[in-house]
Amino acid sequence: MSLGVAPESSRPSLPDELARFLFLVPYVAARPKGVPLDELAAHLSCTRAALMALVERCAFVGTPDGAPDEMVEIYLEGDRVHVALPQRFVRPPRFSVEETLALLVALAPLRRAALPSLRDEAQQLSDRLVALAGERAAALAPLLESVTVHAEGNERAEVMRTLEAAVRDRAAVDADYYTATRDSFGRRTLRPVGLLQVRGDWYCVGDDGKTYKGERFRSATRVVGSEAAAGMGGDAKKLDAATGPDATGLGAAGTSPVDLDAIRARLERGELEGELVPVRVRERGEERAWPVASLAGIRRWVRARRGGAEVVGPEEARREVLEEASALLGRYS
Amino acid sequence: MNRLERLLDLVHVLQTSRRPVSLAELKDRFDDYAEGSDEAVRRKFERDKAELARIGIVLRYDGDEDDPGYWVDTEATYLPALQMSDAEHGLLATAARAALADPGFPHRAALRLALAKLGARADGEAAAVQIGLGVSDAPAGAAIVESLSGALASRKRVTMRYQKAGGDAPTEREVDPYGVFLKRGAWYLVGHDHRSDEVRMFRVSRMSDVAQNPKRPGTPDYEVPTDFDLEAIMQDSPLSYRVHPPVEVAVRVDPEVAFLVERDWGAPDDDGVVRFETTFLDFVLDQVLALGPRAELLSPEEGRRALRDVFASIVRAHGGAA
Repeated sequence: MSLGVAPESSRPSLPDELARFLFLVPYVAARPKGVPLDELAAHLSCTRAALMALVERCAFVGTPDGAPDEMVEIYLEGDRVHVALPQRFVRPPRFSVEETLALLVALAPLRRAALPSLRDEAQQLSDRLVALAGERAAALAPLLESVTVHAEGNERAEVMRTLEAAVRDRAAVDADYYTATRDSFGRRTLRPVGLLQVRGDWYCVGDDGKTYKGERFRSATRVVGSEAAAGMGGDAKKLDAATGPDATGLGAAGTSPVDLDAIRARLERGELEGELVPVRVRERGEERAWPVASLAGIRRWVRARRGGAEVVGPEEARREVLEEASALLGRYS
Repeated sequence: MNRLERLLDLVHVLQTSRRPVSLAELKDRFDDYAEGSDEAVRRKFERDKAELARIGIVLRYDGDEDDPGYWVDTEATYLPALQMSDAEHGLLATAARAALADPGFPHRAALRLALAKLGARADGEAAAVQIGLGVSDAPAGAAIVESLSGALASRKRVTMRYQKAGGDAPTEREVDPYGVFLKRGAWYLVGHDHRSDEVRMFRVSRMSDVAQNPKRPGTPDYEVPTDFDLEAIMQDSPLSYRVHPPVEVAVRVDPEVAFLVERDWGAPDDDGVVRFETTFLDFVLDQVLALGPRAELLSPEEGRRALRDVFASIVRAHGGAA
């Protein structure tokens, strides 16, 4: 069932065209120089041709048989759409059911985040947006929240609270952290510059660009007095630019030497960081090269395959796998 | 006059008039309403009203005997002037960037339009908090989720073909959708499955031919039970998946890493042993294997046997004697 707006690239239905007209007239009217077709087409998820056809079909909207000044004056000039006379179409319609749903689902990972203040801010914003919905959408809002994103991993709330504050205040933290790739647990000091949520799991990014999975922090304690720009080579201006207050309240990463966009994309692709160990493995009769972060990582991978995979080389890796498996076999024999 | 133009003209007339406009007046002003019997005209007008209601235009009828008629409730119809703080714009941008960057996110066109109405942008400077949804079954899954969420909003039953994991041929299902959620990159539907007469969870990537009950489109087929708890289902650990009867499990876990599994297993006792019940022992084996030398399954014996077989296989595969 359509909720009022057609999927991208499909032929527009009557409700789609009505919704598009009711958006574009006030939007364009508020911009005296007109609006490029491409910009409008992007907002409306339609082609330029569909948009031009709509403008043409709506050239005489107004009072039937009325005078020109009783009509909406909408026209194309070159590559831009202009509205000289919007009549009373001066504000876009409230959110439709589908728009409300889309906003709520998009905000769900933040509304359900393990970061306490972010969660509260996202909930308040969601409530505000529901208040801007049309009557039917507002009435359905509780039901629409049943379409959502699970965004709570095994992170400890107190850890995430500390990390969130550290990013905001540009502070360092002492952390008890388990490094899965090395199967080691220990204390380290890091200066978080960003927090990334990937497939529901949270990652903290340090100012060295390294990532730390949220659920692997046993504890995190703010380093008292670390709020000064001690990190990033002591370059206070650079740090301000990197993590100064921005729209999210948690700092912008725009000029940071740490490229959070790239790190998030790498995590989404499941790529490993750092120097990788070249390993050859055989699985289901097929041999392939498989760089891994560490030999601990390859042992873990072999265990997860439950005997269905083999490390072919290098010899050191193969020996480590055999030694560990032999010891564990002894434990269960 | 095409219908699009008639409907927009109707909105224009009803929102610019200083007083409610009667149907008789509309008949005078609109050629499209002038022809046919009164009943036929009324039906045409009602269809137009319903179409406008679908896109959120709120028409009111003022039954005042002296001056009865229709008018557009502009406050209920149009967005009020809106001031959003920088923080709110930032939150929205963070959410929108993630959603629009992922082809597996449903309702992308609606999201773009909603953002444009708010004057919000999904591009611009990257924030220090970012989200990557990483939806795995895009874009086919997004189209199915749109269909399911549409059914949920209207509370209409859906039919589908469903390929159960490890099952043989796909089966036909009828489900009343109660909730739809994304978890670890995969979309799921939870609803009342009429085949089993139970609330079941279905993975969207295993669905095909999803269709909403076309009968009586304006009337809900069901209500979501008041005690339905989507939150509990989303939080549900695989340990409680009903794969077999409950078994008691005991695992000795290295205290250094016990926190990694504490949420699922609970806290260890003074001897470092965690005891819990599960209906999905194979999942416990995965967790124990992930911890490697840092965990030992103490019971049940069938689990220990399974792990012994695993390690024997690994030893043999690597040239050792098992």
